[in-house]
Amino acid sequence: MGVAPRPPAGDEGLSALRRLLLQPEQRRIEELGERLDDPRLRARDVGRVLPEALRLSATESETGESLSEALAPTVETIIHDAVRRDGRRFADALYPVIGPAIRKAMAETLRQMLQSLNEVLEHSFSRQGLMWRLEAWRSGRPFAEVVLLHSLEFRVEQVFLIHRESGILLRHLSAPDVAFEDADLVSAMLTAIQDFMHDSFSSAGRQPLDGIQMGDLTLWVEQGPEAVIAGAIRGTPPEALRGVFRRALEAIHQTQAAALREFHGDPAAFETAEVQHILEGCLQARYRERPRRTSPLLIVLLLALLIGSGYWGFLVLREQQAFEAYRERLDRAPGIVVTQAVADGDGYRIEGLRDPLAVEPRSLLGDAPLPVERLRFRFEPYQALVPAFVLTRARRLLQPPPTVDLTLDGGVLRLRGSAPAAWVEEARRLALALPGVTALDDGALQDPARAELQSLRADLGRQVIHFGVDTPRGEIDTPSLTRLADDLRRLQALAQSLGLTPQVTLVGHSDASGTPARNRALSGQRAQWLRRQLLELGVDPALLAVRAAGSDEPASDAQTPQGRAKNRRVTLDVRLDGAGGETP
Amino acid sequence: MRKKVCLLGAFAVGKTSLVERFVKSLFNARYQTSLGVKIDKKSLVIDDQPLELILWDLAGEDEFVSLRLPYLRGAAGLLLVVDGTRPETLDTALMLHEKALDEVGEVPFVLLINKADLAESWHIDPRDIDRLVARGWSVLETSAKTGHGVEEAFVTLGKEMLGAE
Ligand SMILES: Nc1nc2c(ncn2[C@@H]2O[C@H](COP(=O)(O)OP(=O)(O)O)[C@@H](O)[C@H]2O)c(=O)[nH]1
Ligand SMILES: [Mg+2]
Repeated sequence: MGVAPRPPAGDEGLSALRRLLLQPEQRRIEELGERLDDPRLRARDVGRVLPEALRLSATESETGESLSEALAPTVETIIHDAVRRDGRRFADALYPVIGPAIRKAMAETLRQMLQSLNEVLEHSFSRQGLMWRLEAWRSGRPFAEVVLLHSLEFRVEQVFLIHRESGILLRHLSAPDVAFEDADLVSAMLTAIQDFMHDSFSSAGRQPLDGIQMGDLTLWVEQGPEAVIAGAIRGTPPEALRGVFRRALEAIHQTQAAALREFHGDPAAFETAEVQHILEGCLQARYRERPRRTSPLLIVLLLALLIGSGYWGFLVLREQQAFEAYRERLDRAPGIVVTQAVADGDGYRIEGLRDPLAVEPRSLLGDAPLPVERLRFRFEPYQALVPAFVLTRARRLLQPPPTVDLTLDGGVLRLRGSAPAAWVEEARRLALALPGVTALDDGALQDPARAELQSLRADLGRQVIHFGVDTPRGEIDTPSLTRLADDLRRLQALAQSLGLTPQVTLVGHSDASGTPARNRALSGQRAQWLRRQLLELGVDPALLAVRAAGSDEPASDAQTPQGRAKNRRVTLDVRLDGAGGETP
Repeated sequence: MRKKVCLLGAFAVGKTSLVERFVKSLFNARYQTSLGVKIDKKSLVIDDQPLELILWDLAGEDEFVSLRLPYLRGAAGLLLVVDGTRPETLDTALMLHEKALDEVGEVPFVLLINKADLAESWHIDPRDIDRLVARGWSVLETSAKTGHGVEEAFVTLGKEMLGAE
């Protein structure tokens, strides 16, 4: 900083010239000198250029480093002094920066604690909470979203009344369907967290902890001088709920002042209806009314669904009725007993007993609207005592000849007609083994051989061979005679097969127009003649006997020639001798 | 009755092990290191009177961790735990007891000399113990490892707490 050289005094002219020439510079130099001497002006100037100078030096790295080096001690001193003078203000200024950093560090610590606390609290199983959780799990939606969907605003599930100093649980209430244990532990843990938070944040002038968010549960804590109320809340509680908690806490302090002061670990003092009533006020819940707009499409869909399900219902009903009717028909059918008939899966199952002789169950379906392919039958075979079935079984077992007629009359099996003795004997043995047959009546049953024998005997008994006047030769043609011989041989065979001894007597007759002796002789000749004819045709001589009746046994009164002609004849008298004498 | 009980003692004397011996822990204790406390519960019946102990297992005091005094508030009883193999832990226990006295006042307490299973390598001067007993202290030997004396320790404290009312 220089000063303009003073000219030597006396040299007036030169001085004046110099003044003339240099005056402007002189003035300027003087001005500068003043400026440099005046600290205020100097400061103003430096202030003007300093920001630019700092900016410049900061961008040039070598000078930048030296600048911060140069500034560091001063800045440190400044901060140190500032903190010492007014730490509060400095903390306030720094809080926005440091607060988040601390909170981040704290968050990690708390996360671990909360995880444990969460495990405890999540042991609270509210039915609704579980349903929603299940739904969230099923739908893959976040739980909170499901809660929102169900328009739950909030629900206080549990309330803890905690002794502030010791953290001991005084009273615990939970919402109606919330099951919960270990409220003691939650209470103590909460208190530990409180202490921890208080300890860690008190220097920053923070309020003690008043809420913790854990997943879909919020834990709210309201602090009083002696007691703490904490609430486990599902959903998003409104701020107004704070007021509810606070008033409850105040009421507790007012009404329980003595009990709180004298508390030494016996929570029984708080097992009163009064405390219960106060705390119950905290167990609040609110569900949002969701506006329900019904879209026309939804109505159409609902209608379609209604009609569809109506028709479907009709079909189901019709099928049910048809099934019921079918079941009755089955049950009525002889030889079928239905023990169970139920809808089973997509079809029907029918069980019972069925006589193999009964109708095929499916044949009874008719045109019932039933799904044949979905009917399942399970019939155990059995023998029904229905008369028709007993008879059918009797026929199958006994195999009667066509000449036999079987009927059943209250357990008695009646045989009518004719059948060989051997068959009858077998039938007698077998019939009683048939279920439903208690007795056998074969009184009206005949042996065919015996029947033939009887009819043959009757036929022969009606045979008449006529003779001309006064002749022993009969008026019979050869075929008739041959037939007669055949009949006799058949008679003998039948009788012998039945153990009988047949005897056929040829009885000769004459008319009364002669002497009795003559008539007797002639009748005898006539009988002999016939015998000879028959013997010639191979009839056993032992079978045939003869008798001369003369005119003693007329067939007519003989007043006319025709009547007399009738009396000239030979008749046959058939006898069958059995073991017990003559049989019919 | 419900009582808060704090376990105090130097690092690694066996506080957590003692609690684990005594209760079946339900919840994980991962938070303990950072939070400085682990809480458990045990129900006892003493002379026909039910007693629930809320056990606050406080992180031990050492050169890195200092006891969080607020945790002591409201304690109705203390368990001072000493590691018999480390004489200096007795000093720590006595020091912590002093601090606790300031915080909670005179409450019942029991001094536990733990790791009794290692009794042959104990280095605590028996005369120190005798002096404490002479002052009326309850001193018990325990082993969290074998379970020796553990139940008795908690029951003794429980009785003293019930008697103190
Ligand atoms: N031998 C033996 N070891 C023990 C006993 N109690 C605790 N320990 C061990 O000492 C260590 C510290 O125990 P810990 O319970 O964590 O101590 P804390 O820090 O007081 O909670 C662990 O390795 C334990 O296994 C004991 O009674 N006997
Ligand atoms: Mg431990």
